[in-house]
Amino acid sequence: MGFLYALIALGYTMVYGVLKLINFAHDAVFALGAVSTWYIFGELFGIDTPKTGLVLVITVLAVLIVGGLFSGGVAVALERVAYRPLRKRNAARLSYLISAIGASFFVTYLLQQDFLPFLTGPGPRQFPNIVSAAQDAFSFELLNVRVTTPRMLVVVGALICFLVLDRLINKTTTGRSIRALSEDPVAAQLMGVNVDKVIIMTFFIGGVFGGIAGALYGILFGTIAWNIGFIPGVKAFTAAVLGGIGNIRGAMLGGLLLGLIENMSTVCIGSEWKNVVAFTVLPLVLIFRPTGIMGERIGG
Amino acid sequence: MAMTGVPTRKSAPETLRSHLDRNYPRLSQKLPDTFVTPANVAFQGWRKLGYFRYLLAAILMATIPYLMDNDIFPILQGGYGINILFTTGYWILLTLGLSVVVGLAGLLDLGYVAFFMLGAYTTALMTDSGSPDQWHLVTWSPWLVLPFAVIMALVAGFVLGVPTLRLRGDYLAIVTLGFHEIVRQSVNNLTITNGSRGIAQIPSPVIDLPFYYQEFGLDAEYYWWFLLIPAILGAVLMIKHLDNSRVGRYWSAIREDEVAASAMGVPVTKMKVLAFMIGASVSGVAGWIYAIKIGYIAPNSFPLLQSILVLCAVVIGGLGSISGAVLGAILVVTLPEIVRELSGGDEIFGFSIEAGRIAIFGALLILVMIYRPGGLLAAKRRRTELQEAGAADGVVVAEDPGAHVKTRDADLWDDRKKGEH
Amino acid sequence: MGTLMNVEGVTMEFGGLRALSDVNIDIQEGEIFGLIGPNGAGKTTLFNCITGVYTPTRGKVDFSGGSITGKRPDQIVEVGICRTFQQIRLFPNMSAMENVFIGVDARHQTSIFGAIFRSPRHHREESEGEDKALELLEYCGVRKFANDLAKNLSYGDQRRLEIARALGTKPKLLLLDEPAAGMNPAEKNGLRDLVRKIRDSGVTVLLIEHDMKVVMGLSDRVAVLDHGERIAFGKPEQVQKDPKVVEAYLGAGTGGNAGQPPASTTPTEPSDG
Repeated sequence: MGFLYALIALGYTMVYGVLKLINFAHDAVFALGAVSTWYIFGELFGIDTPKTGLVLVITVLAVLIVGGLFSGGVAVALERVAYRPLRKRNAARLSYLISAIGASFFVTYLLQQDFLPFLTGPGPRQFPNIVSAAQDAFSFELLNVRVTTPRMLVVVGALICFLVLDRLINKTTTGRSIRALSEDPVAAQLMGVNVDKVIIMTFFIGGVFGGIAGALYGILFGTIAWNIGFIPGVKAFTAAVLGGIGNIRGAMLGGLLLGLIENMSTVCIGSEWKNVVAFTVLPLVLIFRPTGIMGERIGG
Repeated sequence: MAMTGVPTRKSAPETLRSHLDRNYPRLSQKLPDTFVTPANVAFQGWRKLGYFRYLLAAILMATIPYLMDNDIFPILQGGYGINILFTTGYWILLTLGLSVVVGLAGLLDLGYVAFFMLGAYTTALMTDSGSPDQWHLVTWSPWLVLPFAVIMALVAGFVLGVPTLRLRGDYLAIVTLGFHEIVRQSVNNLTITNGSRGIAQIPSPVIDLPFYYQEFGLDAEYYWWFLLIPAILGAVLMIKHLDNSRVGRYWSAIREDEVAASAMGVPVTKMKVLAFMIGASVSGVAGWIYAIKIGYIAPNSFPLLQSILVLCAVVIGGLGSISGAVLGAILVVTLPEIVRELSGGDEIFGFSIEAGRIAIFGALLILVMIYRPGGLLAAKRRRTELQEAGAADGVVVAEDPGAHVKTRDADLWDDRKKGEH
Repeated sequence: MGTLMNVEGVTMEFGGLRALSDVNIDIQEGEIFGLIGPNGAGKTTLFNCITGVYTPTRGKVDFSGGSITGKRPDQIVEVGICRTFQQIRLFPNMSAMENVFIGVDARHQTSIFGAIFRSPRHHREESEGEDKALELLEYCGVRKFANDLAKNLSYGDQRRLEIARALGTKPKLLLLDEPAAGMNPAEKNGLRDLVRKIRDSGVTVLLIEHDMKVVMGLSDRVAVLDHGERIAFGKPEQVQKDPKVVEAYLGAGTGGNAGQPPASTTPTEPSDG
């Protein structure tokens, strides 16, 4: 679970790093990742039996890529509709936040409808059963925790994503532009950075990872609903802050840490309090170490 | 009734025209004198009434339930109309309260309903409610419990406010959100609050005076509304008084420039906590009323969504203005109903109204932010603030790059970074 | 005429960066004290240390016999120190009158209960406050803008308004951060007169200023900061001739009579709010 948070946190952290804006709507993006893959693979193609071997790998990759792209696309659309007009109008920060909330609501509750086939409707839906949880070939016990294939998938997937992003941010031109924009927008612009494009890129990348997380969620838990975005969204934000908002590696670290804390509290206090603990982490972090564990620079 | 701090108290009495010019200049240009001058009589007359206005308003408001019992809108008859009225009523209270926090002091509170919940639960736990083995602190009559609901809310406002009000806007928002959930989950998990099953049979209040006895309840539905009237008018009065006072000015100063305010002697954190507490207390009162009317509360009665919806109402209606808050509340409560009526059912082209309501408000929120950032009926001051309060470079929202949590140091740190001494 | 404020050994470090090093200054009651130095010397940082925005890493600040080191800005106002900002921090969407009122409010005591229940104190303070605010606006020459939004005022008027607001807090010591920046010569003369008027009314003034004519003409005593250190201290005529000062402004290799250090490149952009 911690890895999922980390993935989602990446999205938050990236947008914040560049725009100093908390992309409230990111939780909807995440949910959308799950929904889109559910729809495309489950409903449209009707894939529902566990796969093995190479077919498995391909299917999984396909699912993740589709989910990622879809979410990335939506994130960009969101930026276009909900944030760009505000930027053009020099809006106050409050406006962005409220608009983000509006966007999040709009998308999330739209998903709750069922008048179009790709909207899930109010109830939970069965995610295509691609990866069998009971697959013995890959499951083993590690430190008293049962590691099954889906969980392995999440971990591996997240790690790969993280590595990719890290390389992207630090080694490519796009990555440099993003970093430049996050450090000093005016200078970056003067140096020829196309601000609009970079912002789109940032949203896209963040969205992609959110979407991948969504798809992984579906694989991991087997069922999805329209409202799965919200709580993980807030927790992921907490994770991002915990690790240092605006910092990629921090997001990763934060996600893992939060997952760990959550699980430990389940053991110590009982699982009903899990959410409460997660929610209390945020104010605690903000009070005692507001810059997070790894500080605020996007490059880590 | 827009809220702007009227500068000079001793200048000539304001005319309708000057009021319009000051607050709604574009509208003022469109209205010719032939219309404004006679209307001015009503305007100034109304002003002259002073505190009598509230009495008048109370009487007018009291007649609403009777007006609803007519044949033009037959649906309003019977329980339905009263329910809508009641819901609108406590929503107005909620938006008014949040308006103080968000509109006057500029603090983004996403967990406002937590106080509502606390008020309701305090009421439940201090009256003779629930099943026989329900834990109670005391079992008093609902009237007696009211001050305690308020106190509970005040304390909660204080507890939430002190550690968190140094945080910057975005973070404050998320933390308040978390607060709501923490409260809700805690109530859900504790046995004394009967967990997720909630508490039922919260007693209705009874007026037991020597010359008059009245039970609130099924045969006396109107009385709930009558109870709301003083609450609402009281809140309005309080807000007006605060706005035009030292406290209100301090809140405006904090909204405009916290650092400068602090440098001019404004105890910033104290003022923010105060705003929080005031808002919380109003919410607590609303919670009290809710508990005793509906008679049943459970953690699920107060979803996080509701907190955000109240915020929506305040923002869409208009920040910092009383009429805006009222409008917002009315919109949020009645719009879905109106749409439902017009479409003759629960769906439009398969679009479920009940759930879709939120989606619509979400979209509305975005639109409002883009086109009318202060909300529909915002006070003039807020409108100008929100329209122009952006970064000079217009590139990104880089209000204070790198500045983070504690606005005090961080702000001036940035001044340093800009290359001064 | 005693010592009003004593800055002792104040050092200010931000992480690895040392903005102020062991600065010592005393301010006498009733004087106009000038703080000068090249850009980046640490003058505003010193202001910030005095007014509680920063807490000095080392050293202390005493005022009127009591320590004010590390107090919050609003507490500083209470003991009688108020400041203006280099970049003008008025409340842009409030009227000039309301801006000054905030300053005046600092000396009021209407509590929240008083506000809600309209206590007699509230009414009295509102009335008196209005009078006082108008008076101050008049004093600073901006009375006619009383009902105009602060952001609509011209640059020079905004600076005066900021001073009026600061005066509202009835300070014993007024800190002015580059009050003449961006003003034309006529405005600067007006400012000079205003500062003298303020001093004559019993308020001690400490000002940061780049314009040498203004500073030297006004100040009874002057201190020069460079790279966070106090390099000179005393009467203006003496300090002007101090070779260290000349060097700081003009660079090494210019010995002899200091003459006028060059007019510095003060930013002339209007307030950016």
